[in-house]
Amino acid sequence: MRKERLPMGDGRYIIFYSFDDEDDEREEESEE
Amino acid sequence: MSQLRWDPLLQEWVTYAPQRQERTFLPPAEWCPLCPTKPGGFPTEVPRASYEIVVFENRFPSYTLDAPVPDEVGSELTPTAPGRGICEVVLYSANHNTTLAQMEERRIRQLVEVWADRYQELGALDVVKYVFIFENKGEAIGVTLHHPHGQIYAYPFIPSRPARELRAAQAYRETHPGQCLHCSLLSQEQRDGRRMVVEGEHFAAFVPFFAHFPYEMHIYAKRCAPSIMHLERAERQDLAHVLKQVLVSYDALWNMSLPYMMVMHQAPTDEEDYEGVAHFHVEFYPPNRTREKLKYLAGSETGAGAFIVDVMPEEAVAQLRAAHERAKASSTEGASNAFQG
Repeated sequence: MRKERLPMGDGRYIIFYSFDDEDDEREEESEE
Repeated sequence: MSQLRWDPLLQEWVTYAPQRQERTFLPPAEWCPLCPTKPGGFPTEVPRASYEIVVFENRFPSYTLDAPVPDEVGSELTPTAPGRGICEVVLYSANHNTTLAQMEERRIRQLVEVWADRYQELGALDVVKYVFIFENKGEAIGVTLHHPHGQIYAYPFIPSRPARELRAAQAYRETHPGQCLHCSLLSQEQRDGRRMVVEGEHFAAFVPFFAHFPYEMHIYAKRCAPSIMHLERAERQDLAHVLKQVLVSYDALWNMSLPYMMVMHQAPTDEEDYEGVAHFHVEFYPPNRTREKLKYLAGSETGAGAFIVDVMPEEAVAQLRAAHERAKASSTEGASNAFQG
């Protein structure tokens, strides 16, 4: 999971969460 | 700006946030402020052409970190306090025309990670005593934006309902040393079996014996984890699985996208120790008592705090189990989006 936090310009913040297939693969490996 | 006023009769804070009166109310889909900003289009809250999951501070918050100390309107009997906290919006998807129930389990699993991250980050703030993760779905609940989203309120106090639960759990632990009230309730439901709807490896969904709403369901962690942050990887995966099963069952109940309130109860984030007292769980309160009729919180419920429920939990669960079976069959047939619109 990647997390990118940015200012919105009016004092607020916005956070973009993104995921890639590696997240899922890592998960599967750890469950095996 | 927000201010808190203490109700000494009910022993709880009431929050006043008059700035929320101006919030956006049911805009047409093409003017949705939660959609991505399209090239050449009007600027929404999300300044990108696409996204997976986004969290941002609510433009019309009930709590802010800079809320001022209220003017001298309080007294020793009725004190006031600044409405300091944070209100976040969680966008589940860039797709305007979907719901949590229609999302793949993989996306719900990602959402569990985001919820856990928000609990940890917001709960670490000194001012925040309780991180409340919830979703209001449907106009029947008062939703003002249809884009699939939830909210997080980081309160400067422990709200009265979870506080009552925690006091009950603490009292139970004192009379039943080493035991957790929620674990005991789940064990009782599992032994009885009549009100169970979905049984995962790490989570279970059931209609509680004492449901306050006709089709209320609770999802309990099988292990006594105090919060979503404390869940291990396999538990998070199973939470996503059981959540998905509950959501599709609700939509299959009357073949409609069922409105609901979804709330998460977990450990407060003050300095106290809640091990064995707080037990992470999710509660769903759909407002419908039939496909067409709503359950209103009227005189008895609001004025007396005494819920009158039109459907016996054992009858509700029979309908929900049948709906779950229909949803599973529908999913097997590749018609998982049968309830769109």
